[in-house]
Amino acid sequence: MKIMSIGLSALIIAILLPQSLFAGPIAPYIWSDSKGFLIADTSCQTKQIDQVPFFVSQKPNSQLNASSKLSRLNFLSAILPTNLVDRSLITATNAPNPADGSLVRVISVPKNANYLNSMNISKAGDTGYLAKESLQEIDNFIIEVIDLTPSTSQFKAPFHVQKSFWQASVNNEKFVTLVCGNITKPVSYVLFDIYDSTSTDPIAQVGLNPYETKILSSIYVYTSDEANQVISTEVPAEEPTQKPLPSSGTGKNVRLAPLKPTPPPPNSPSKNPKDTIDVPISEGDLEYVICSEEKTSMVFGKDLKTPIFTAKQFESIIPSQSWDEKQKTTHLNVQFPNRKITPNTGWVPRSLVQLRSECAPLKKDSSSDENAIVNDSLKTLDPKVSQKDCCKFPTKQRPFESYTDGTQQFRAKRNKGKRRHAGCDLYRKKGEAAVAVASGTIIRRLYYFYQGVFALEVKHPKFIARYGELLGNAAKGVSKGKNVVAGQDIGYIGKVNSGCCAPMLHFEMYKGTSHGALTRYRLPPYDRRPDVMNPTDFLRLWEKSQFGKSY
Amino acid sequence: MKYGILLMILIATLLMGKVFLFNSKSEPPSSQPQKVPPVTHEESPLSPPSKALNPAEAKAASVSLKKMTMILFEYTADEKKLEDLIRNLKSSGLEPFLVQDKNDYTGEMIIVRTKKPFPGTRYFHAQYFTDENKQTFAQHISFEFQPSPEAMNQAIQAVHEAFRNLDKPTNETRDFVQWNLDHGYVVWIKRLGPEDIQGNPFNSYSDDDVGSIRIAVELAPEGH
Repeated sequence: MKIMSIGLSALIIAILLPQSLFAGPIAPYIWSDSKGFLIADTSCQTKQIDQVPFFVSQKPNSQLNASSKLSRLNFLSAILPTNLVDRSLITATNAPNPADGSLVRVISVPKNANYLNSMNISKAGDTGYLAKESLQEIDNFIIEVIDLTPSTSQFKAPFHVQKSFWQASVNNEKFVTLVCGNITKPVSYVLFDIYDSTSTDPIAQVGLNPYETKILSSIYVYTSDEANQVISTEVPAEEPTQKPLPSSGTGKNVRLAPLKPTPPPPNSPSKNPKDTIDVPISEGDLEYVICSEEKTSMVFGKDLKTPIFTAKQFESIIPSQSWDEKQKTTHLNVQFPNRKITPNTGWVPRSLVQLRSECAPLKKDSSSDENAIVNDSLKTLDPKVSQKDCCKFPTKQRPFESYTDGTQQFRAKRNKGKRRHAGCDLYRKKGEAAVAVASGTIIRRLYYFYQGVFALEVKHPKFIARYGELLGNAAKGVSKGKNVVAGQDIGYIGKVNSGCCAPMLHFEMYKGTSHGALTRYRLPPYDRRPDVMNPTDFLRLWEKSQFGKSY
Repeated sequence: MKYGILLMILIATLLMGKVFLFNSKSEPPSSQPQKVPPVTHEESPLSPPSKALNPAEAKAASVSLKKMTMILFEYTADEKKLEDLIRNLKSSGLEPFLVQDKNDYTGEMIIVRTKKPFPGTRYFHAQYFTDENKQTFAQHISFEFQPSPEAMNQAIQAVHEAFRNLDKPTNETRDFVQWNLDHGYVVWIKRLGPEDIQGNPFNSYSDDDVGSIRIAVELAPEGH
C-alpha cells in the first residue's frame, strides 16, 4: 500500500510538474540572504506565470529623477507621504487597500536616481501604498548590481556579481519562476537571467524570493536603451558599436540585446594564454626526460659528486620539488619512475631535465610515424562496434559486480541526483591492468581525474574512450601519441583516496561528434560533452564474446 | 469477533515484550539516535609520527598554507580566469609555467605548475579544460603541505577559513575529508599514506613524504 501510494505520488508529481528544471545548460541558483547562492536542487521545478511580485516604480511617461508618492501605513506618514524615486525596485502584494493603490515594500532605491535634493525620500524596507499606475513590470528593466554589502559579500558567488546585469527571465510572454521545496510548503522564486558586459548568453540564472533580496541592495536600474549605452561604454573603444535596442516598455519580449554576441575586432587579442600571459608555455604534455645528446648520463648522490647509477638517454623522469625555495642551483633531484629497483632517485644537472616535447635531441631521434597521432578523421560510431569481434573488454577478467545496475551503471544518480553517472564502473582488483578495448592512439596521457586517481584518453577508430580511476603509473609504451592495439595494457586499476569505494575502472565512451574537453562545467545531466554514449550494451557484447557470459 | 481476539493477542504480545525488555539486563531501547563518535584527524598510532617543525618553519608553513588555500578558493570561482591565476602566481613570486596539451579530438588541457613554492608547500598543480565554445574552466587545482603532527588539522582549519559556510563533510575519515561546494566543485584534504606516494606521474616522493597533506578543489567528474 505504502509503495503504491509513493508510486502514485511520484506519478502525480510527474504530471503536475511538466518541465524539468535541469533541461537547460545553466544550473540555476537561488539566493538566500543567510546562505548566499545555492544550487537549485532537484525538487525545484520551473513554472511560467503571468505576474510576479517584483516591480519597478515609475510614473508613466516620466523621466529619471521623478518620484511617486508612497502613502505610509502609520497615521502620521499617511498625512506626509514619502517620495519613492522612480526606478525603485519594489515588491507588491494584492492586499486590499483604501486608496486604489497597491501595498508595496521598497526593496532597493537605485543609485542612478538623482534624489539627493529631494525631501522625505523612501528607503529600502519602507512599506506603503503606491498608485497602481506607478507599478511597472520588472521585465521592462535591467538591474545592474553595483556593489555588495558586508552581509552579501561574505558568500562565495558562482559568477562575478559586481557589474552583473539582471533581467527577469521570460518565456512565451510569461515570467519563469522556480517552485522549490515540498508540495505542502512550496517556495517560489522569480528567475533572473544574469549577464556580464561581454556575455552573449546568460552566464547564470538566479531565483529571487521577494523576502530575500539583500543581493540587490546596491543597484542601478536601466531601461533596455540605457543598458545598451552603459554596456557600449564598457567595451573597448575599437569594438564595433552595438546595435540599438528596441525601446523599453514593449512587453515581456524585451531582451537584453546589448549583451548579445559582439564579434571580436580583426586584430583583437586571442584568448590563447600564450598571447596574454607572459610566462613560459610549452606544448605537449607534462612529461620530463633526460635530454642529452649522449646515450647515458651520470646520476649523482646528494653530494653531487658520487655517481650512483647511469640514466639512459631520454629516460622518463619526475623532478622533485622541495618544501622551501632553497634549491640547488646546478642540479635537480629527480625520480626515475620506470626503475623498479632502488635507488630510483638521484641528482642530475638541471640542463638535462627537459620536457619531452622540448627536448631537441629527442625530436631529431624520434621517427615521425611512431609518435605522430594518426590523423584520420574520427568517423562516427558505426555498426561494426556492435559486432562482437570488434573489441576487447577493458578488464582482463569479468568485473566482480554488475555494471548494468546500481551505482555502477551509466546514468546512475550522483550527488543526490544533481548529476548522472557518465560511464560504467567495472570493479576489479587494485593494480590489475586495464586494457585498450580496440586499436587506437593515446591522445591524452594520465591526468588527475578525481580523488587522487587518474584518467587517460584514447582515440579508437570509431569512438573516443576515457579510461578513468587509474593509478598514476603509466603502462609500458603508453604515452601521448603512441598507438595501442586491442587488449594491450593501457593502465592499472586504482582506488580513490577517500576510501569510499572498491577499486574500479571507470569507462566512458564518446561518439566523436562533439569537440573540446570530455568533462564539462555544469552541463547537466552528465557534466560531459554532449556526445557521451551509454557504453553498457557494448561492454556486455564484448564481455560475452570474451568471457562467454555477461551481466 | 475474530479480529477482536487477534487484536487482544497482539496487544498482549506487545505488552509482554515490553515487560520482558525492561526486565532484561540489556539496555532499554532508546528513541535517540546513537551518537557517532567524532572523527579524529590525529595521525594514526600505527604509522610513524611525522617530524615536528621548528617554530619558525611552522609559522612560515602556516602562512603559506592559508595563502595557497585561498588560491584554491578564489580561482575556482566562475569569474576567475586562468589568466588571473597566472598573474597571481607570478606576482607572488612562484614562477608559474604552463603546459598546453591539445589534440584534435578532446581539445585542450592546460596544466599550470610553479617552479617555486611558498615555504612548507609544494607541487601546485592546476588542470584547465577548454570546451567547444573556447571557454576554459578549472577541473583540478591542488597543492601539498608539509607533514607534521598538526598538519591535517591545520589544513582543515585553513579550508574552513577560506571556504566559509561549508556544510558537513560528505566524506570524513582520519586521513580524508571532503566537502561539496555550491558550484559543482568539491574540496578535499588527504593525508598521503605510503600507497598515495607511489606512482604519481607529476610528483616525486620519498618515504619521508608520508604524512604530506594534499588539498584539492576539483570538479567531481565521477563523484561516487
